[in-house]
Formats: sequence, C-alpha cells, structure tokens
Amino acid sequence: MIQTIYIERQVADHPRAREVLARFPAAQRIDCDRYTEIFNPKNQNFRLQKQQPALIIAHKFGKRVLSAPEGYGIGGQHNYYFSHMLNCIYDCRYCFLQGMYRSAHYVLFINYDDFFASMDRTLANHPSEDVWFFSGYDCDSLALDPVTGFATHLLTFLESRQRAFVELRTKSTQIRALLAAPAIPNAVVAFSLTPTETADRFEHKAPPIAKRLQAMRQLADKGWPLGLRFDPLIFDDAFEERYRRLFEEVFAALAPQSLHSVTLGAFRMPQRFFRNLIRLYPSEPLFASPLQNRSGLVSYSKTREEEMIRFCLKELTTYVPPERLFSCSADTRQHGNPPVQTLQAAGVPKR
Amino acid sequence: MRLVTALTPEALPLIEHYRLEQVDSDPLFPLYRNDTIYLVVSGIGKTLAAAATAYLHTKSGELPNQPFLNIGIAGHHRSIAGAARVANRITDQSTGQTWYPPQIIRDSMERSALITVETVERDYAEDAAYDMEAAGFYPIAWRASSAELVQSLKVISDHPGESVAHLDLQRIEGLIGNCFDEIDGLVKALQDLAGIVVSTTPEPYRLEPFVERWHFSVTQRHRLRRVLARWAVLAKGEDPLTSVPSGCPSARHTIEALENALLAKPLDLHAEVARPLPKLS
Repeated sequence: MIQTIYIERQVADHPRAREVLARFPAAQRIDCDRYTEIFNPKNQNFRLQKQQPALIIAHKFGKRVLSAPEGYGIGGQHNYYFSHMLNCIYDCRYCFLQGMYRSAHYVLFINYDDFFASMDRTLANHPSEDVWFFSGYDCDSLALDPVTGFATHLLTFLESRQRAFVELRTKSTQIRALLAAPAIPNAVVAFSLTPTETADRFEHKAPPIAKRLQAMRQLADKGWPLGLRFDPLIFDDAFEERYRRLFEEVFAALAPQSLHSVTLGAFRMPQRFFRNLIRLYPSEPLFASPLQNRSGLVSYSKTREEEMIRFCLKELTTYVPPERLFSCSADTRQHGNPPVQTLQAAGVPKR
Repeated sequence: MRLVTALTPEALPLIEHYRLEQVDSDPLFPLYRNDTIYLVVSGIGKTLAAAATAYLHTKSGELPNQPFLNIGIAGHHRSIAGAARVANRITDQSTGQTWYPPQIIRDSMERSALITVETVERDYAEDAAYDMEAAGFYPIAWRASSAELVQSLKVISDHPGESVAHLDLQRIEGLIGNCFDEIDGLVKALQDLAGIVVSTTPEPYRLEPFVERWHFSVTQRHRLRRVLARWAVLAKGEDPLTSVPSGCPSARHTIEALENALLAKPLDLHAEVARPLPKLS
C-alpha cells in the first residue's frame, strides 16, 4: 500500500510515529525537516501522485482548531473544524482537495494531544455551551484509522467532555475502533453517499454504497448517532431517478431514528480549485457539464441547484423529520478554505 | 523522454541502445535524438548540468509534462560499485538546498539520498550517493515539467574502498551499459507516467473560424476557449459552428449560442469515457 514514508526529523522518535513506521516495514523512509518541503512545492501533479501516494508523518504547529464559516453547522451555535490529516486514500473525481493541494501525499499530524488541548481551549471559550468540532474536510475521518488510531484517542477525549460534539465524516468502512467502544452521544459518524452508479463512476477506491450502508447498520445497532451526507449532489439527466433509488436503498437499510442529521449540498467548488481540476482531468465530463461561476464558486445555476435540493428535500421528508434535515448552497457559504458548506435548517427556507 | 548525462562515456550505451543520432554538428551541448528520446551531454558540474537541461528543453520543443532523467555515475558511502540507485532526496551540498523527487513509480530499484558536491568526493561521510550534477539538473527539469516526471539515476562507481582515481572512460561506459536494463525500465515507466497526463487532453476546437467571423474581446476569447473545450468533451465530433445561427450578430451571442447548445444536449455522466492511447514522446 504505502511504499514511501517521509518523516519529519523532530517526530522520528515519537512513539506514534514508530508505530506507524512499524506497520510498513517494506516502505522506504526518507527524513525531512518539514512536511511542507514535500507537500507544498509548485509543479507537482496531484493526479500522477495519486498513482502511488506517500505518507508524510509530521507535527502540526500553529492553529489546530479553526472556526467554521459563519452560519455553518448542524444545529449547534459554535462550530469549529480540525484536520489531523491532509488528503484522503480515496480518489473521488469531484473532490476539492485535488484542486486545493499541490500534492496527493497523505500528511498525518501525530501530535494528537495538541489537537485535544486546542479543543479544550475552545471549549473554555464557550463555558456551559455545546461546541461542535468537524473532522473530515481535509481528509476522510476514518479511512486511515487502522494506521493512525486517531479515532480511539478522540473517543477517549470526548467521553469526559460532554459539551464537545464531533462529526466524523467518512466514506470508509473502517469502524473497528467505534465498534470496540461504547457509543457516545457526542460523536456523530456521518457517511457521504451518492447513488451507486455515481459512486462507481466518480468515487475511485472508496467502498461501494452497499458496504457503507452495512457499516452504518453495524454502528446503528451499537447505538452510534449517524449522519447522512448527500453532498455533493451531482446532476445529470437521470438525477431524480438515481437519487430516488438511493434514498429508497438507504432507508431500507437504516431506521430514521438512528439518524442525527441529514445534509444536502449540490456540487460546488472555489473557482481556483475548479481550474486546477480541469487541468488535471481535461476530459472529465463532470467538469464540462453546465456549471457557473457564482461569485467565485463554481456550481450549478441557481435554478438548477434549487430544483435539485427541492427534489431531494421532498423525497427525504417522507423518511426523516424536517428538523434533522439541512441543506447548503453556493450562495450561503463563505469563500476561502474549506469547510466549504454553509448549512441551514431545511425547515427554514433561506431563499 | 529527455535524458541528461555529464560525460560522453555515460551517454554512449544509451545512444547505442536507443539508436540516437546527433542533432546539430556544432551545438552548445552535444545533443542526440530519435523519435521519442532526446539526450544531452552536459559536461561535469551542476552549472553545466543546469544549462544543458535548459538547452535540452528548448531544443526539444519546450513541451510540457515531458519526463526528464539524469543518468550518471556517483560515489557512495557503501561498497556497492556497479549498483544502480534512484535518488529519493537530492541535496546541494554547497547551499544545503534539498529536493525530494516524488517516488511514484513502483519498481524493485533501490533508492538512495544523493548529495551533489562541487569537487570530487573522497570522504563519503553520509549514507548517500555523491555526484556533481543532480542539484543543477533537478530544479531546471522540474521547472520545465512536473516533479513526478523528473528523476535521477546513478550507477555507483566509487566508494571508500574503491577510489575514484581508478575510474577511466571505458570503466564508466561499462558501468552504465551494465545497468541498461534498470535504466530502460525507468525510462519506460516515466514515459508511461507522462502518458497519463499527455493522453487525456482532448483535441481542442480551433478558435480561428470564430474569430474570423466575429470580434472577440480578450475576455470573450477566454469564454470561447472554455466553451469549445467543454464542447470537445461533451459533443466530440460535432462541429460547434453548426450550432451558431448564420446571422448571429456578435461574439457574445455566439458564445451564448454555443453554451445553450451544450445545455440542450443530453447529459449522461455515467457513460464510459473513451480514452485515447498514451503518447510516449
């Protein structure tokens, strides 16, 4: 799997780094001073690196917990995000990471305790109030968990901090750490889903939808709060038929009571990232399909987006109570770095 | 494929195997080529290597995303004379600057750190290979191409137990020639990798038939280029001009006509996309 591991010299003796290295005894190890020497230089090709990404083990300096954009959330008032990893083992053609980063290598920040200390400081800034922390924007929260072990550390942290709520967003079926732990109400495991044909076509290397649903059922049986993330919604002529079937498939497998939240968002991306994607995949019909630049964000036309969201909301309200449904739009998000979505309760129309 | 060697004896086995022919009779640097491969002989040292790499890029048409490979002999801390090593870290000893050629190609070849020195290395202090060109070659080739496609392969010629003083031109030629299979494997792998990028760009429709009929501003030309690029993906084989009404009054209306025509076409993102065969040059 991983054939090359870059490791910052300062973390070379960190016990967690040694554990990770021990998992890949055949990998070549290359020492470096800072991960940015490998990750940030220009003239790298994300697509080519996806052929054989390396792992970079690093220490995260600076701000580890960042404010989510204004208006972002799934019901909470105080919303933040963090990334213990950069990049993802899957290769989803629509993913903004391809446009945002120059390198496809996986960066793992192993100073988990510093992330938790930052979360504690954030909690202290909001005494007596719930605070949401979103994971899974710059990486898949669980896909590399058998290697990183991050989930286990996070759950231990969350057990004693009931005001701290975390969303783990994933397409992965790597749920062993969750199944091994008692379910806690302040960790929502949110699965990204697209219709089966769409997943087959665009979500390279990700587990099939049926496997994700199977993982969700296992988690639901153990009492874990679940999230459904229909984001991005991808349009083509069979959009309604595909998504209707997907919702049928999902709710045949899952009881609505197990769901904490369901969110929707049409495909959208900062224009700079989108340009990079076209350079990487000039023949990709998804990027040639009718999209518009809406104030710096490339997305479907407002009319089309509204139609897509309206259709999905109508379908979903037959399964899920409206207070658990959230949608987002190109018009209601902040520009800049991800997280890219601004979510609003579907029960309160925003337009 | 663009090859850079420092010495003629390093180049000779490659010239012979790839049947390369000299390009100019009186060039700035000796330059050889066949249909798909260019080779330049730089001379010794990183400055000449940098200059020759730039020269090679210019003389071979300045095409983007071309693979570049630096091939030559190097000393090493370990007694591994005759072994080939691909550089996974290149350090310019005089400046301390370091580059990390991405390790994308899956093969069985051994890797090594590579230190570029100003004068012949006799101490071999670090567990690394020592050469005199890679730190000149790499940043220029990287600028001309993409990092993944730029690599350096060294055949170990000397080490603490076998001094560089014992090297002669025949021995150098032999060392490179004996590693030709490894070199050729890397050449092919780099060509395949480059093919991924080169082969997927659809043939664009020409702007000329449009700009000859309507006046396009600079911004409108960008829009036209973009809509024609989309056309090449979504309506391949159809002439876009046929979707523009003959009496179309302006460039703006022309672009809108093309965009509307694309909008009206059936959109099935799930159909298999036909991929053209990779080009290997």
